[in-house]
Amino acid sequence: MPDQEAEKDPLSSLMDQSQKGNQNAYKQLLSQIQIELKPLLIKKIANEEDREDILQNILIAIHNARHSYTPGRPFRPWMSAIANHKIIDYYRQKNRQSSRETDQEDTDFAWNDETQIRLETNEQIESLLGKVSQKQARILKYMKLEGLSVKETATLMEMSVSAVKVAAHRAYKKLKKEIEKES
Amino acid sequence: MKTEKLIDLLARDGKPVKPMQHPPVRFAIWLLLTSALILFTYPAVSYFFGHPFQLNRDLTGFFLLFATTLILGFLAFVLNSPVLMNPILKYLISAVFFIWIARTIVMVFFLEESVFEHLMHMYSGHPHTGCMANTYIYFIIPFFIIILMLRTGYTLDKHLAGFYAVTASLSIAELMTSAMCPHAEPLHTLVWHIVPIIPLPIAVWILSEKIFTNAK
Repeated sequence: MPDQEAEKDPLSSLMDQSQKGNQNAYKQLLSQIQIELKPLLIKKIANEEDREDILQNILIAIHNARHSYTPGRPFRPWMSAIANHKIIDYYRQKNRQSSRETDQEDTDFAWNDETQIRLETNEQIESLLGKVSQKQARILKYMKLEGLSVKETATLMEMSVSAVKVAAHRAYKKLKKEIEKES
Repeated sequence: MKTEKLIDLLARDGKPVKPMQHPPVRFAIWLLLTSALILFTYPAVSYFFGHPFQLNRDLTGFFLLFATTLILGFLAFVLNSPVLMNPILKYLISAVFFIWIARTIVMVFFLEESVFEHLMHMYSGHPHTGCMANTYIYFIIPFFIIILMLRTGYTLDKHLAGFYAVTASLSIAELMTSAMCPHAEPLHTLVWHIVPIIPLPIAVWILSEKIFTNAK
């Protein structure tokens, strides 16, 4: 027996019609879903491009799953289950990507350390820190003196991993120039 | 691609679809089909196995297995369409099947004497491969049907749905094997009924992405 809540819900009736092949109702439903999901996506995903990608993924999933919606049942829980699953998927993928990137970046910095600047002591590093900006100095201090990874430094600096990488790279370049000048 | 363009494309592709039936209905169909096929194959299997069906030997064990079939089988169909469910509850429910396994292990180690001697004797002596074969036969029937049915739906939590499907089917298989097996000792159940089925849930868990990927 159809739920009373579902009978009142315009999305449920649009979905019922969409399952019967009414393309106008289906277009209206998808547009309505897009509007309904935007606040949730804004709340959960900061990056605008990613938000758009996830919204599209959700719409495609709803399209592929539309036969699994039981007519007369509330539509929103069904839609939310798909949306939540896609958002969780996004975070899982992002975490995997970020850990891969961090590993790669750590390797890059190890290479930079060996080939670009050869600093023997901590005192030598500290004396050079005044030659770069405060932000760069803090980054170098965390990474060179404290031995933190790029990811840990990014968390401490409240910056993204890539931003830390760029700042550190610029600082290394600047320091290299300074060392060459001195020698 | 702009979202508006995607909506246009999807709407144009919005052909009529036949909505899926309610999970309880689909679950009942699975149970009926499985029972019918098991009844159909029973004469042949019992002829080779050579033992009559007796359910009254270990009523608690049969009850646990039957409950597992009902609960996990039903949940496999619930998870076959997008549904909001408490994640902790989802995993807690899986414990039903492990209660039966844990009970058997406890019975082996607390009720039987010189377990390891018996164990060595059991492996070195005459192997009871009949029980294994019986379990596998009665596993394939419900598992094949449930997977065919689940592939027509849309599963979000593929690993868990696969796990529910495999454990529900294994419970049926264990129920049949236990009822037809001449050995009632817990050690025999552990060695010849439980150990041989351990790879099955693991394999299905690993393959579940593939099992459900080509689904409609």
